Amino acid sequence: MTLGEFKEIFDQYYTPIKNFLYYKSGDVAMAEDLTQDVFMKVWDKREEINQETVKSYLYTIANNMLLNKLRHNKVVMSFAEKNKNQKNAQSPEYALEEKEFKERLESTISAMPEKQREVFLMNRIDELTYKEIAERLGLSVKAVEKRMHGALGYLKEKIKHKI
Amino acid sequence: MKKNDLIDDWLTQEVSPEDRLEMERIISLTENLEAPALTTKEAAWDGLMSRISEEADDNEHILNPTVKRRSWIMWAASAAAVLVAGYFTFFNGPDLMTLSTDAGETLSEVLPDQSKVTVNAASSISFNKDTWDETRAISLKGEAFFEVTEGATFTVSSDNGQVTVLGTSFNVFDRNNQLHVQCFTGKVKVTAQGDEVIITKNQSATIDGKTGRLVVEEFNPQKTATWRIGEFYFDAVKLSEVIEELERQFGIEIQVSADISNRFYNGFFSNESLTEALQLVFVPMGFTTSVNGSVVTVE
Repeated sequence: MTLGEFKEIFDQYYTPIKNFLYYKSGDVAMAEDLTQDVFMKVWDKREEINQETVKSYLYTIANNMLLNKLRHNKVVMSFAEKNKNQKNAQSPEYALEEKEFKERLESTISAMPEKQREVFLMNRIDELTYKEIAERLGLSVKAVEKRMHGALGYLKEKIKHKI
Repeated sequence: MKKNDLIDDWLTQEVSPEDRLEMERIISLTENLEAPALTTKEAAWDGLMSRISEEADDNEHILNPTVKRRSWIMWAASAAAVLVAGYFTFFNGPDLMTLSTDAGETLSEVLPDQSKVTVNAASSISFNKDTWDETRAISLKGEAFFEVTEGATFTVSSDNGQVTVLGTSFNVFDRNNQLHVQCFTGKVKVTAQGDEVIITKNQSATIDGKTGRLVVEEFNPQKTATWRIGEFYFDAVKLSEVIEELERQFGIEIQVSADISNRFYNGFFSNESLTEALQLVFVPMGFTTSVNGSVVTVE
């Protein structure tokens, strides 16, 4: 693997890997540090790594590195919003309501089982298809679907209780 | 909204209109979210690059810290056809520098006095960094090409002899009780088994297998020590020696069932393609080859 090829892999996978680690840990600083460690590892192993399997390898290393960290008691997620300027025209009341809704959603996602959460967010935020998620995590598409079902069921349950 | 069967199904599930509205809100909001970031991707890349170069500095003991050398990263990025590999190790104390290559590798380095050495496959050189300024002395196992800058006497000691120069370029091959020294520029003094010769440009010194004396011959510089560009020329060379070079260049083992002790090879191979090299060497000699992993059988 040349430096150029390594850069291509970095450009393509830096954000999804960093997000993946964030979805699992809820700790953005750690997610960013570990993402660097993941790519260092890929660079160190560049002679052994097969270009075709690099994506699942990236997620496997990321997962293992996270497992080596201390377990987090409580995951607290918070997200930024894209296209924020569109909301400028909203009334203050509506904006406040939206903010509260977002906070409730964030706490619900934070409380969601980790395996469901990572798949759900990879789909919703990174816009990966189930097939892509399956390839990256070394799962079957069925297993990804099952986790998505679980995540959606979880959200639905919470809605019933008004989140 | 992004097309997604599962989500679409979920949104059409029978729920109260109120819940349905909530579900749609959740789905549209999740689509609009971004994971937080403290650093940009560009900053992360820069951080990674500085870590990689730090690591390279730690791992690669520099022959001369003041000499600007190609960094590890540049090696990786260059499209050089020659595989640049090998390693430095310390042993017998911190001052002795060793540079080794495995089969299939060649390695070039700049020595502390700006002299250049290129080490062929399955070879090693070592020298004392501390005394380098006074005595430019290198010990060699295998084969290496030297381009020596002018200065104090530069000595290469190998198992079968010693080469002494002032400033020149030359190749030393010392394997299996054989010594071949080829001088490309300047003057080279070769000492072996009590014998001493001085050779000049395009002359070679070889230990004669029968008499044990050093024999001086002219050579064609276009076809000599071309291992540095991955090309190997042979002029009436024992087939067994050609086989050893093939083994070193490709990191393979060659098993020959026939008696080849009286076979000599005239020809050429390149270390780019094993298949081609095997054809070039063995087909003219009337042998067939079969490759099984890293073992080549010759019949």
